[in-house]
Order: sequence, then structure tokens, then C-alpha cells
Amino acid sequence: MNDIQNAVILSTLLILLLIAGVVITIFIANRRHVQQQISIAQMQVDYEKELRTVEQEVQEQVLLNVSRELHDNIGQLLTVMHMQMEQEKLQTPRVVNPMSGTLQDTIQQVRMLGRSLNNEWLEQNGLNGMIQNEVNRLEHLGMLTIHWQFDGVEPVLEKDQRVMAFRIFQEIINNALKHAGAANIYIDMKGKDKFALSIKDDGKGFDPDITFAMGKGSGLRNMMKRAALAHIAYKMTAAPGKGCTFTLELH
Amino acid sequence: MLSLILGKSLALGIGAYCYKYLSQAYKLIMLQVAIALLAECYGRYLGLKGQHNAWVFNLQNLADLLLTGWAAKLLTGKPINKVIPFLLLLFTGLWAVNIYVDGFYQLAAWFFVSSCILLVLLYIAVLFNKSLFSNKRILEEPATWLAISVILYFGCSVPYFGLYHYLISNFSVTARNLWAINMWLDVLRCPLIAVCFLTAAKQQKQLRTA
Repeated sequence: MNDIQNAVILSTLLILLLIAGVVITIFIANRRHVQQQISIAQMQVDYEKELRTVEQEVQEQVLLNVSRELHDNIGQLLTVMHMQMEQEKLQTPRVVNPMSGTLQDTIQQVRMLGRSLNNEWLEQNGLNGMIQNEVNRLEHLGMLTIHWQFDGVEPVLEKDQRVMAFRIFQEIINNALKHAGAANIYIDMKGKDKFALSIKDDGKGFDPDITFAMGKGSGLRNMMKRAALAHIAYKMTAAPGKGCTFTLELH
Repeated sequence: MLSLILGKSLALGIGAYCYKYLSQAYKLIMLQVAIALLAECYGRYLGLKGQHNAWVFNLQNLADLLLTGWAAKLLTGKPINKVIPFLLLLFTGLWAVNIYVDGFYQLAAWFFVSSCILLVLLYIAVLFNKSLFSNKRILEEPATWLAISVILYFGCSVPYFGLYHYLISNFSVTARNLWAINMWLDVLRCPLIAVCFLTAAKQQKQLRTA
């Protein structure tokens, strides 16, 4: 009788040990699998980050080249043209005068555009100076009214953050001009306590969910990724008929 | 016996508390626990009255196999889940044969032993599936807790129920002593099922919030 009892107990224990073995093996396999997945995900994040950085560097280099070209080549040519016109003005002032005024405006616009593309200017004038330059340029275009508010303190940002914030700002303004059909843009920047930049338009707005679901809005996604890369909190609020509001803040 | 009833009631209570967050697989397990609780109570009642109660456990064992087996189908992936319905059908046939051979008032022990082996294999497959194809830590998966409870109880029931008829006819006292192992494993199974329900509800809540 005892033999049978012992046999049953022993075989139960043996099965228990086998089960424990199987379960432990599965646990170890899972641990390895999860760790592998984590490292793959980390590698993907790093790769994406590296890609964005390189992309940004290339873009900045291209913009710098365009800016130099505008300043050194086109700007010079326009200045020479302006000087020639000034000479012509003495002979035919009625014809040349309005043309000369337009050319002067063009030279001014090209200069401002060149500055807005050049991040060396950003270093010299700060984010405030660059946004002010951009506001002047947009006001000169006369396509919409800009309401620009600034608390007077240049925000404390690292170089990359400043460049990224300004490029995102430019992209938002560009979107408002191209797609929103806005009449007013409200720009508010604070630098006193913590950097905060808000850009609001009164355009036609859109539904972000529908836009992203349709596979559109790559520019918006790009801005989001760039802001994340520079450790800047990016928030977008938009609704059809209610315009868009973008907020950039330091984390 | 009381601890078994309390254990099952606890698992059932937690299941009811988390009911709206449970997926179909865990609702099946909840139903299985409810049937087991009823069978334990009614079987015990019949036993105390000196009447045959094996037929109650025969029905309960079949329900155990079908519900736990179907839950495994819902928890595992291809190709195993395609085979499970056929296996359950086959084992239901085996149950009918066992009942036909031994009679309705005798415990269908051979059917139970084979169904234990089947369930252990199915839930090892569930564990492998969850460990190799899920990106979550295995203890965060409710299926893990369920699989451990099933493997533990049904796996360790094999030696005892393999010798069940032999022990009952020749060594009834030993059979009663050994039955305690089975009962305590069943009791141990209940908190594991309760943890499974709680983990499933937590997972579902997180999913809904996300």
C-alpha cells in the first residue's frame, strides 16, 4: 500500500518538477525575447534620431548656401541694377522712378529672405530678432495681418533648439499662407521664465484625425519629430472652421 | 473541501468584479469555475446523502475540457487553434466511450487522464505562444497565470487519476489520502485564476485608456 502511495506522490513530484522546468525555460525564453525587442526598438529610435539630425544638418547647409547665393550673387546683381537705374533716373525719371522703387523693395525682400534662411543670422540676432525679421517680411507681403507679442526677454535655448524652433515657426507660417487662407496670425513668444512660442491663425482649420488617417500631414508629422529631437514640447490644436494653434514649449 | 469552495468562490467573485473587462476566453474560464463550484457543492451533497455522485464529476470533467480547451483555442495562434476544435470533438467521443464502457455512475478516469494530458499540452503551447510572440513580459500576460494554473492542476492529476480505479477498489484509505494532493492543487489553482482575471482586466483597462 505504501509503495503505491509513494509511487503516486513521487510521480506527482516528478511531474511538478517537469512543469517547473518547462515554465522556467519559457520564462527565460520570454525574457530574452523581450530584451531583444527592447534593443531593436531602441536601435530604431536611435536610427530615426540620427536620420533626423542628418536631415536637419543637410537642410541647414542647403539653406545656408541658398542664403549666401541670395546675398552674394542675386543681391549684388540687384544692387548693380539699382545703381544703373539711379543713373538712368536722371534721363528718364518718370519711367525709372517707379521701377527703382520696386527694385529697392525687391532688394530689401531678398535681403530679409536671405537672413531668414541663414542660421548664422539666428545666432547673431537671436530667435526674437529672426521672428521680428520674418514678421516684417510677411507684413511687407501684405497677404495677412500679423499680431506679434513678445515679453522682451530672449529665450534661453541651445543653438540646435533655436534653429529647430525657428524652422518649425517658418513651416507653421508657410502652412498658414499656403493652406489656411488666414486673415490674421497671432504670434506670442515668452522667454522670461521658460521659452514658449504660440502661433495661432484664424484660417479654415482642419481635422487632424482625418488628415492623418488619409496619410496626409507629413509636414505636421515632421515638425513633431523635429521638436522631439530638440526636446521641445510641440502641441497642435485644430478644428474645421476654427483655425489652428501651435505651441512650442521647453520641456 | 471548504477551502476548495472558498477558493473557487474567490476566483469567481474576482471574475465577476472584472467581468466587463474580460475577453471571451476568460469569460469561458469563469463559466468553467462556476460549473466546477456547483459540481463540487452538489457532488459533496450527494456524497453526504450516500448517493452516486460520480456522474456529476463526469459532467464537470467534460465541461472542464470543453471550456478550458476552447479558451486555449482563443488564446493561442495558428496552426494549433485550428486543430483544437477537432481534438475537443475527438475527446468528447472518448468521454462517451468511457461512459459507455464504465457506466455513468463510475468516474470516467481514463477520459479524465487523457483530457489532462491534452490540456497540459495545449497550455504549454499557449505559454510558448505568449512568450515568443508577445512583446510583453510574460507575467503581465493573463494567459500565463491561467496556463500555469491549468498545467499545475491537470499535470499533477495524471498519476492519481491514472491509478484511480485500482486505488479505489484495493486501497480506499490511500485513495482518500492521495485525493488530498489533488484537492490542494485545485485550491492552489484558484488564486492563480483570480490573478489571471485581474491581469486581464488591468490589461484591458490600459488598452482602453490608450
